[in-house]
Amino acid sequence: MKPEITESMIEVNSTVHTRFDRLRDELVRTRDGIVDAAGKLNLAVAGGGSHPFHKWSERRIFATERFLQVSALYGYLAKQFTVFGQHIHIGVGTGDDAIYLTHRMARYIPHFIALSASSPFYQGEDTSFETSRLHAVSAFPFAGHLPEVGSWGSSTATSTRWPATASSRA
Amino acid sequence: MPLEFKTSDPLTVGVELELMVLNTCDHDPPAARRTCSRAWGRRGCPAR
Repeated sequence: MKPEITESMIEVNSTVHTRFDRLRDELVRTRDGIVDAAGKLNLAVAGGGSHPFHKWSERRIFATERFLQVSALYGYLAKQFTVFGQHIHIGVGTGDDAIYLTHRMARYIPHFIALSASSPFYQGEDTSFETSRLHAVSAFPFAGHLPEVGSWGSSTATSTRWPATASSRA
Repeated sequence: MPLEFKTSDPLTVGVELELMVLNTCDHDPPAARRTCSRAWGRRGCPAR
C-alpha cells in the first residue's frame, strides 16, 4: 500500500501472480487489513470512479518529491486527478508482444470503459455521463491510445522524444 | 499516476487499485445522504 497524488487516495498493489484464485485471496486479505486499519483512524476506504460530491480545490497533494513535481507541472489538474480505478498488469514475453497485445486490445477499450463506468457525479452534480472520471484522466498528455508504433523499439524511440516536452517530465 | 514500465515474467498478472480515503470523523452522513439523494433524484434510477 502506498500514497497516491492526493491525500484522499491510496494505492494498493498486489504481488505478481500466475493464478487468479491466489490473486483474489491476496486482494481479499489486503482489503480486510486496510479496512480494519482505516477504521481505527476514523477513516473509510472505498472504490469507485470518483467521489460524488467532493471539491477538488480542497484536496491536498501528498508531499513526495514526485507528486510535488507533478503538482508544480500540472497545477489544478493534479488535484482534479483525485479519481479512482483499477489497473491490471499483464506480463508478456517480450516488449514487442506487449505492443502487439496493446494494439489488439485497443478495439475493446469502449467495452472496458462501459464495464468500469462508475463516476456519474462530479462535485455533487450529475455530469450526464456514466464515467466522468475519463475526462479527468484525459487531460494528461500520456492519456489515450498507444501511438501507432509497431515494435517496442519504435515505442521507446517515440518515448525518448518526450523529454523534449515539459509534460513528459512528470 | 500512470506510466511506469517494469519487467515481469510472461503470463503473470498483478492488480493495482486506486482507492478513495474518507474521513469519517467529521463526516456528516445525513448531509451526504441528502446530497446523494438530490443527485440520484435528478438522474432517476438506472434502467435494469
